[in-house]
Amino acid sequence: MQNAMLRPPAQAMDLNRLGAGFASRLSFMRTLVRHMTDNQWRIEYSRFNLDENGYGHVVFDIQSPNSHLSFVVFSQYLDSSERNDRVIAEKWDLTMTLMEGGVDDATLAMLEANVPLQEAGRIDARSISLARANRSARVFGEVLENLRHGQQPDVQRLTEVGYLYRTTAVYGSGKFGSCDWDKVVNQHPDLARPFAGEMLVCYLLRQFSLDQLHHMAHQDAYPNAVEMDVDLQRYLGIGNSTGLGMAPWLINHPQVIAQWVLQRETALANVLQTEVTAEKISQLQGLMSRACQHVSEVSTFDDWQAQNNRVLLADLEALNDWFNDAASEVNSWQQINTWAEQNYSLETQELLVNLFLEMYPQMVDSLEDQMAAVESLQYDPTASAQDLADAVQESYDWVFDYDFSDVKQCETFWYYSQGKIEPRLGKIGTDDGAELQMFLGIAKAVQECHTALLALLADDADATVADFLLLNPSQQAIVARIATMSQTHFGEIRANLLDAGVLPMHLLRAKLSFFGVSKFDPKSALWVRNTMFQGAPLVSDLMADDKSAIKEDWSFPVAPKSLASNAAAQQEVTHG
Amino acid sequence: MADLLQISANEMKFLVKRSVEGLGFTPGDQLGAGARAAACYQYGLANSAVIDAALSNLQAAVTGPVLIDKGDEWLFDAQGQSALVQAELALGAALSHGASAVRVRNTSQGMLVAPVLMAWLSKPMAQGAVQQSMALYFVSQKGDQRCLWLAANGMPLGLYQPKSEVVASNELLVRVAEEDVDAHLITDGADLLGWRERSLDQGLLVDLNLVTRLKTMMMDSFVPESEESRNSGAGPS
Repeated sequence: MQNAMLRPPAQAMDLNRLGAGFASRLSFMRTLVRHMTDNQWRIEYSRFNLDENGYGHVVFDIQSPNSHLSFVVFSQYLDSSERNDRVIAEKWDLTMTLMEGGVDDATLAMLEANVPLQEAGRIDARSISLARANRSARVFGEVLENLRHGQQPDVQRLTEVGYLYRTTAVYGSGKFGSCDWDKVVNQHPDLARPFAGEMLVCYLLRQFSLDQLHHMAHQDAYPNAVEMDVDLQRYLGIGNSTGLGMAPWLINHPQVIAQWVLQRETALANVLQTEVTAEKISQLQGLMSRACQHVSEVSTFDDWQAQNNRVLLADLEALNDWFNDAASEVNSWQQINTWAEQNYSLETQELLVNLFLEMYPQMVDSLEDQMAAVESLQYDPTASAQDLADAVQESYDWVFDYDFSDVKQCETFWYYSQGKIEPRLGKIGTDDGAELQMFLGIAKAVQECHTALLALLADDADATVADFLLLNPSQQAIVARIATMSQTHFGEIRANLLDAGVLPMHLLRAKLSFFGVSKFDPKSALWVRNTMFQGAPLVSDLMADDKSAIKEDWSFPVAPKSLASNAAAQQEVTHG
Repeated sequence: MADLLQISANEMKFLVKRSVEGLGFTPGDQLGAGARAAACYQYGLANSAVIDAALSNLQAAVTGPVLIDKGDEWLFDAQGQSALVQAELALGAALSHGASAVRVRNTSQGMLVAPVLMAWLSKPMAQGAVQQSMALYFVSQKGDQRCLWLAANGMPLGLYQPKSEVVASNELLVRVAEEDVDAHLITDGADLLGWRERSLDQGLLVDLNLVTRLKTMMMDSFVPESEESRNSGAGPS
């Protein structure tokens, strides 16, 4: 294959575009499920101690090719007045940890004393992740009552929500005493992909939510209780509520983001070079059709997202009509991609990118092994200051698009509150705390660094980076960043996070799309609800000898069509 | 015996970074301090007493070392700053001009600069002549002479006790292309790497008093609560 042409960084790293992303084959949830399936992970309960109300604890025993893991869930009563998805919450319906090895009684007691406390407790280096979840107040009780009385739940109702529980935080990488990422890489290679441990937590949480529901349904008082239709079980995911905390992460881990984008863009570039056939166009139309139905089933009260969805549906309909009329005129995928870039919304363009990837697993899937990055922002003190200034011109030319003498372009500041260290936004001149703002104004810092570099070079053309830093010690962080990121192909996310009109939602969605979530439902500019693992195989599917029930492509899940009639038939039998 | 708490290296990074930020240091100092405290702890080059003393010796008003002399051995004055921050500015400046030795005086906890040298040497440098083995001389927390010998690729070759005094109690010294060190071996490179592996496997055991101190210090890097601020957070209240 010829060298494929990557999209330019100005396009791929534009925050508005990143904020229009969708899940793809390279998303971490898809990758995890592929590995669990292909490598025949064994997942079963070693303890299931729940009372009739679903309170108690369970332990999943997980055997992957290289690791023996346990997933421990504690379920407790939570008054609805205490249910809060924000970081500042102090109590949750479910708390859990993923850890290495088995769980004996002493370990369980230690976990029981700490995991429900979350930040206020301590776990140890055997734990890989710590998480919590809250029940969907809207749906859980309704579904439970349906099942207890022999009825299938209302599909429309489940379509609107899509989950029984939603995670409100999933921590890893050494938080609260858990093990560092380097340990995961060294000792648990099956989880040595970005956020694989965290994704496993969410996947097993989804399974627990179904198992707890059925356990509560099948109590003695409900002899007519039924299992939820298995297609409907697969259709249910786990909810996720993501707020501002994810946004600084993207700016503080630029090497990781650049690596993720590089793999996706490499996959796209390879696919765009492949030959177009009538069969592939038909496959693309099928994917578009499913994506349309998926998007049309998204429930959101957010006007901006709803409008984006409407435009996307119109774009896809237009493209589909064109395929029906003139498929023979399609010469290449690049032609379609260019057409989309010229005529369709960013969301439509990015959706098409991911559908292109979906059609060519053999070109895409191996790139998942390149997603991880060793992080170290550092400079070479012996490099020339001129080279550093040149690197700014070549890799950070976009920062000069901003005028920071305009107060509006540096009006926003990001900070952490003292209370539970919650990330928040403030306005300079209005809110307190600007002097304690996070270091997220990369464009502004690069501009200032460049100005200082030019001033030094005017006096000393042979100055080294170390000379510059000895004179300008406050520039160390941005110099390390420029020196490192200018060596990457895609570099930084191109945005000014200090702008008065900054939309954190784009940052949240950028990361969540790489995770593989669906059904973005912004609740404000600062937080978003979405679903994870909707449509994914169940644990029972993974464990079955016959793997035919596993849909390899479970992206853009849609509501099961036949359930209404199934439910009616089941009622007749039950009451007959 | 002090009460110990097991924390991760990432927590150590975060706590130290935030504590240094709370004192008003720049982002570069914050990030550097967190990274080198965690790395030194992982290699067994620092313990809670070292980190505690390094924090106590931070000078928020000092922005960097001052160059005193550019002779065969470049000499800098750290102005009382512990090597948790800024010492690398002196080392970098000297090395980038071909100095074969750099001495920083009026400093403390010199072992904390080791991760910086390791990182620099681990990647190709623009001036290849600098990429040679290096010996970092410092004084341990108990007052003993120490030398950490690094290979040209940044890997630790061993921790030594020099046979004679090389640095004063408030100094650190880096010698480039040190082919041998006149010292007794304390622990070799494999042991240091093994220490790091054990730290990764089991976490860092840290004096609870240090953790408490760090948690108190880092609060100065967060914005105090207000009802207005609380209502502006992300999510349903």
